[in-house]
Amino acid sequence: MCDKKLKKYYELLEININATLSEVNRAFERMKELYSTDSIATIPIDDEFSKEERKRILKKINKAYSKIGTHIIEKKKKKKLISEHDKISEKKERSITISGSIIQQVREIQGISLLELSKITKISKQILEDIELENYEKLPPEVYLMCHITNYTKFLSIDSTKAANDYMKHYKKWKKKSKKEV
Amino acid sequence: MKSEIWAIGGGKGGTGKSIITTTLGIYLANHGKKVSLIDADLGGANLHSFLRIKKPKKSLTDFFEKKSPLNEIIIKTGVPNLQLIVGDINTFNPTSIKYTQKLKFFRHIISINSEFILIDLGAGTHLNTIDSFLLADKKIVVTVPQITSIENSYNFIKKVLFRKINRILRDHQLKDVARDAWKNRNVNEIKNIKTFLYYLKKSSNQIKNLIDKELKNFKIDIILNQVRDHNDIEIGFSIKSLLIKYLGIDVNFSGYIKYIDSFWDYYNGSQTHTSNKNILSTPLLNKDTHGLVNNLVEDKQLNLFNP
Repeated sequence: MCDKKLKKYYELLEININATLSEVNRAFERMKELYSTDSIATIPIDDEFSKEERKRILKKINKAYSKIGTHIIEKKKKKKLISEHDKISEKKERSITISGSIIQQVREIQGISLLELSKITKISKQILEDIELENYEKLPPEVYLMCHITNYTKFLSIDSTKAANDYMKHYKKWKKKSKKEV
Repeated sequence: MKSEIWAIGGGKGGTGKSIITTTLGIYLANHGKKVSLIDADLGGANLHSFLRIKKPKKSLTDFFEKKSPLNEIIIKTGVPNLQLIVGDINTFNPTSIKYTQKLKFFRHIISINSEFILIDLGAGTHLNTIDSFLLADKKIVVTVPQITSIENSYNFIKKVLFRKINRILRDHQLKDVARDAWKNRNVNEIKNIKTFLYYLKKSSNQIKNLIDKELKNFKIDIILNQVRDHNDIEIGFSIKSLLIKYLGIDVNFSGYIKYIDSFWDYYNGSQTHTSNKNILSTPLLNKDTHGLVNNLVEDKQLNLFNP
């Protein structure tokens, strides 16, 4: 993403370009509230600054937020990728099947919390956690699950096709087994 | 020496413009800056009372009626480095100031020998008030976290911006463009300041570039007074955001001043004392004011994450 565009996104959220991810989250929550509800600050210009216009701004804010979030996570990843840890994890990735615990390890190495990821990927924190812990019985239907895994692992720079294939293989095995048991 | 002019306005009366002007002045003077206060609250002057100056001998009335130059009606206050031009406290009709008098007033303000010149504009949105506001290097709007005060502040800022745009165009021989646009506002679908601005910018690239360039340096500083809790501070950030997003202008939320219960007890009481110790120990000279003045001087603003 070019710097000029990124700067615009930060301006939209009215925060400094050096803001941390948690500050970005807080600024976003504030803006969301300000432009979606009435307050003593908005009511006096309600007639000129209409609900529709505020909705349009909210849309822009949403976009800015997701762009900034992605940017910060990418930056975090880049930093970590240089480290020895990642060289190992990359090798691991190629040679072994990707499971929930591997995904969890890679995420932790990159220093990203489930909550942060949940906000950026728009996948609920619970689902992300269930994917990692392989709580198969709690996971959503296959089609959705596959999408989630692809999106999730993409953020961690894991080969997402391989991840989804590996994960689903295990998942299907479990499903077969549980059907038999029934 | 080029002095820095700060104008303190904001539409609504009773939001604390005068006491804030006084406090900012005392604070700067205490820190070794040479400061002049001008009480331009025509019809409601009382800066001298906050500084406990009784029956001042000279005031702005002398400037407007007896043609005394401004630097001859400046009086000393009890605070070192701080001088004052007392507002008109006798007879005066603010709307009757002639255009030439106004220009003279502005010319004289600029020539006052001080590092800081703080002008208390008082309430209202009279053209004289707005023009004085536009003259300043720092355009400060004082509001309190109450809907009526916020409403008046918006109106004040909108009027200031409208005047500013008109003057930008006038200064570039484009006066007719603004006038015609406004005159035919029904045809042009101009409903408010925003659509007015939009219409003008759309009319030609030259005008768009001109307005963008001139408004780049146009900034409003907001001071929130009578803050009682964290939610009140949040309102300051909301006002700032809405002004930026709605009007597209630059806005700083410079700081806030907490509500002090015993404020009037203190000021009413201090009138009967004779030592000027009281002026310097005003309850408003606290750490919030310290942060506020620093932000104003350094052109910074309140930190959203640690206000």
